[in-house]
Amino acid sequence: MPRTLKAFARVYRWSQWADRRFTPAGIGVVYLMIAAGVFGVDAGRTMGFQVFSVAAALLICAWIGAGRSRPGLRIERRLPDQATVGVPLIYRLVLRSQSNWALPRLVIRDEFEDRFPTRDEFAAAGRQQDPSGNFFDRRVGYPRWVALVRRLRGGTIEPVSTPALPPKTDATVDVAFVPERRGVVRLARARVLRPDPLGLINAVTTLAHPQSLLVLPRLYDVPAIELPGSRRHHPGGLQAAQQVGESQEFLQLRDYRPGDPIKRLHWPSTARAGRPIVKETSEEFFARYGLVLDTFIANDDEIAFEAAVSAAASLTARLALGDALLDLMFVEDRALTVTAGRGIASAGALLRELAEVAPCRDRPFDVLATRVSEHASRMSACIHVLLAFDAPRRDMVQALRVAGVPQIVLVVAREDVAEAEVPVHRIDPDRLAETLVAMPARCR
Amino acid sequence: MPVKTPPFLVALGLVFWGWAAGLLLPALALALVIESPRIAKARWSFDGKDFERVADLCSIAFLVLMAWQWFGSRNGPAGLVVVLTWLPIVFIAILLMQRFDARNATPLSALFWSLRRRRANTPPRSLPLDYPFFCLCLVSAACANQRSMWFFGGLVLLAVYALYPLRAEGRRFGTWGVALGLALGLAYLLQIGILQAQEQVESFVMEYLRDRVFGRSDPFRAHTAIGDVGRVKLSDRILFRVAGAKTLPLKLRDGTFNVYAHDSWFAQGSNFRPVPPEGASSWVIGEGVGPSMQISTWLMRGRAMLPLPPGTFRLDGLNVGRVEANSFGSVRVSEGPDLVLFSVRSDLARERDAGPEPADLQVPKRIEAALMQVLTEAGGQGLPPAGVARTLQRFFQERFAYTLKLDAREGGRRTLERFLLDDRRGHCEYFASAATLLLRAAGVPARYATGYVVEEWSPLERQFVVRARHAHAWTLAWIDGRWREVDATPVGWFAAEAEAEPAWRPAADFFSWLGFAFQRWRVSGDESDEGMSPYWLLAIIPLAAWVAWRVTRRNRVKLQAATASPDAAAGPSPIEPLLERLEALGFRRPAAAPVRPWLQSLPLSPALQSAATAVAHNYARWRFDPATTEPSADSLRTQATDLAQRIEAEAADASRDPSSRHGAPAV
Repeated sequence: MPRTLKAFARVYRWSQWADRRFTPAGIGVVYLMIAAGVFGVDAGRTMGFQVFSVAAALLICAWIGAGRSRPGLRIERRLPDQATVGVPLIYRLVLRSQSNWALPRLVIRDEFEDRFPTRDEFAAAGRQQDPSGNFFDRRVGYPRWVALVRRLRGGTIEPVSTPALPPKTDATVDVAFVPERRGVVRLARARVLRPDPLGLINAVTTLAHPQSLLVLPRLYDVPAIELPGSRRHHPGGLQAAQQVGESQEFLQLRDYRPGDPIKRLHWPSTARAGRPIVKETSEEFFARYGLVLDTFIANDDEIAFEAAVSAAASLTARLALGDALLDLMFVEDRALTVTAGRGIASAGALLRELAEVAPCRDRPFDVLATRVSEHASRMSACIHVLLAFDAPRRDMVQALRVAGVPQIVLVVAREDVAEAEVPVHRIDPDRLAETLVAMPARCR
Repeated sequence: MPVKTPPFLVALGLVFWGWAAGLLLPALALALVIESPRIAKARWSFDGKDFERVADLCSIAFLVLMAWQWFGSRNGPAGLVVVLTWLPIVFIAILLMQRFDARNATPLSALFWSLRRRRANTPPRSLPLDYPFFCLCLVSAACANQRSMWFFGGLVLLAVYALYPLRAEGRRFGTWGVALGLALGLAYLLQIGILQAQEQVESFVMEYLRDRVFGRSDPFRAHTAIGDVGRVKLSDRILFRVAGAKTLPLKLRDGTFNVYAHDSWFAQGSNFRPVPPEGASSWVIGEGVGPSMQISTWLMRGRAMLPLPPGTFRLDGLNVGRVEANSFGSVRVSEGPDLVLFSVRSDLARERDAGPEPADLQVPKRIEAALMQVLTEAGGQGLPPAGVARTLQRFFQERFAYTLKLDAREGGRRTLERFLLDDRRGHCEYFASAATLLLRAAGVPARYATGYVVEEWSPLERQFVVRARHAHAWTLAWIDGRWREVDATPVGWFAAEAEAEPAWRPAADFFSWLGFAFQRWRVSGDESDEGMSPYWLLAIIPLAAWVAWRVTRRNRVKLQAATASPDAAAGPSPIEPLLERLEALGFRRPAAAPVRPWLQSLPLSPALQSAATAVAHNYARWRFDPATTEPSADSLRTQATDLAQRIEAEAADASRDPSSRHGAPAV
């Protein structure tokens, strides 16, 4: 396998090189030369050798004509902070001519950092490949490998043509691409292509320009969720929005008890009494919702996992939190809870977390169940996005039900899931938009 | 950036192909058809499946053509070249469909099966086939093999016309012209070089093959393995088949030689003369009465020396263009198919070999002493010719051994002297050469003959098969006024050579027979040069008609819709001239930017700004309100062109007057 992957990498690099070095017309001439060479191998039987000669001579002269290009150009890339999967992103390249000569029209190829799939990633992609794919793809695997490289890269940026640049002037060109995966995508370099006079072969100059961009998960339409408790009266009012959990309203002074945070010590009273005195403020009772994302991927089903992340991101973007808090709970190398709302962080912070969430392969599901049960007492309602509905997950949902927490349970699965005490809505990863918009809008 | 195909490029390519292939009238008709969309306004909106159906039909036509050439013609590789010559006719349907399609591009899934079951979320890709089809015309024209310098001239003119729109933007025309001129000059030299190199290589390879592989195809020289050491490799490959042989073992001779020098035999003074044909496939070498047998043998590039029994006077059913015979009884054929099956009649009493000449008594000085020593030892001196022959045969049988494995003791080459005086082991070429020279030393005219021994009966094929390892050499001695065969090789050589038979030979024989039976069926199917009639290709017409009906019927509604509404996909946008001129001035519309706000954002004078707003408004109506009749595309185009001219004029004024407030900004 490693030798195969190395061979794939070599072929891929070679094809990329050919793609840069030859213009589409140049590639056409190469094909013509090969065809004429094959059919004209016997110079006595066909005149293919003359067609071959013309094609070969054109390529030789174009190669010499392309020479080595040093266009004297600097490039500045103006990227936005973030993008979203599936939403076209247009950013600007500022071209600064350093040359004392006018520059002709050039072609700019902005390129991502190369990252080739590891053996495990390639094997996982093979296990989940589309069975309806063609025979060559299934058997040889190179198209699958290329598709994986493209996904790891984050998309494909089409080359853009620049206007002719007078000496020492600037110009901007718009570059568009559609992000194909969430997470951080890294742009590495821009290549400046200058075709030879015949328009067959490019001279290539590489300008290193590393930069990264955060891509948020793909968002889908979800119904407006009615969360219980969101209109409850909150003692402490709006001022308390900056102090989550407790308001500033004084309740009492009391003796220190083990476990009290040091910051609650009331130092003047402690000084007066000579023992630790703690200042107690009145409790806040904001509605607090949980969004549980199941990251325990099964059978390397990356598609289902990405569907779950997209579903969680769509819910995050859609939820009208008002004065409530939203706890996003998931497990990577450890259990994590990210809170948003009431000035702590915006829903955008949760989306950024979701942009980089990775599947968990080496921890038991209990880690997540424990974290959820710890938060059960504080939750007004909870939405689960699960990757299966087996016994541990069922137990987690059941425990929340017993604790009186209203829930919406979404299970990303291709087949129907067993019914439980709590209604379960199945999300089909292959028909995500369709099944997500039909999810229940009310917690039960 | 897509490049517009220059006008009539495909038509010119078709005409060039038609001229080269001798199909000028059909090519002109096809060129008219392919350029007809320039006049015809009708367009269809075909989908990917429609293109795939037509592409499949073209593929079927291609396969039918291949099958017709393969089964119906006996031209071998030349048949494939014929198919390549016809490719523009085969594949023009798909280009025609593209030309009548609103998008004017062919989905790649129509061309590649692997793309038909593409991954989900992979957008379909398409490609205009104009340039690829033009290249196909060039390759097909080349396959027509029009050996004329006009071909190169036409090729150059077409290359210039095709490459002009592809030249790099921003380069001077002169630079492009010089580069192209240099390239075409180099191409001229290159094609001359290729032609000469091919002649050199072909000559070298043919010489090598003649010597090492097909050593028996040269009627003037027989290279022997005398001097070679190690095991002489003998192939089990079946070379030819013999049916109806009456006497066994039978020797079929394919060469006779009279001069020995440097371990090779040469045929000196044996000029070939054409054998007159009798009817379509009979060849009369001489007169006689005798039995017939059937021989089937393979030809190399249509040529071969025929292995024939002694006294051959007539060949029947030999479907070749030319038969020649020399005075030593050798017969060669040319201009034939891969396989020939013919009938041979021979009369031993009437042999055609010329009588003895002084060369038939010559002995190389270098080995004369050794020959005399051996002749004395054998007791062959002073005997009549028949006695010498019998004595030598007995001498070799008793004192010599047959072997294919020769060592290289003392590190030197093996020589005929060493064979005669030292180890006395060797294969048939040693025995035949030695016997020929010993007979000459004894005063008996003798010649060296090569050929094959027919002795192996194949129960599978019900005829004799002759393998490469059945090749043999013997002596022809002038005894009692005629040439008689003297075989000095010890008895048992045939069995010795069969010892090395591999275990898989039966399987190899079976496949050899299958190949032979198939070729025999091919060449016996039709004796004419034209092969099977091309008219049965017309059988594909009903299929083509059905596909055309299916494809056009489903899109007829779309055609009406396309003509009823000014769909943007049906043609270029009416504001395209405006956008192009603005881009030339440095205002490039960003991808996906709506037209109206973008036009309004341009730094134009108030008068131009209001005109631009009007254009944007009308464009929006034309683009998004299909029911509208006003403005028409033409009036919108006029309005946009007018605005573009006004903007250009204002930009020109601004550049003359830098103090002007509203000019095109420097970009």
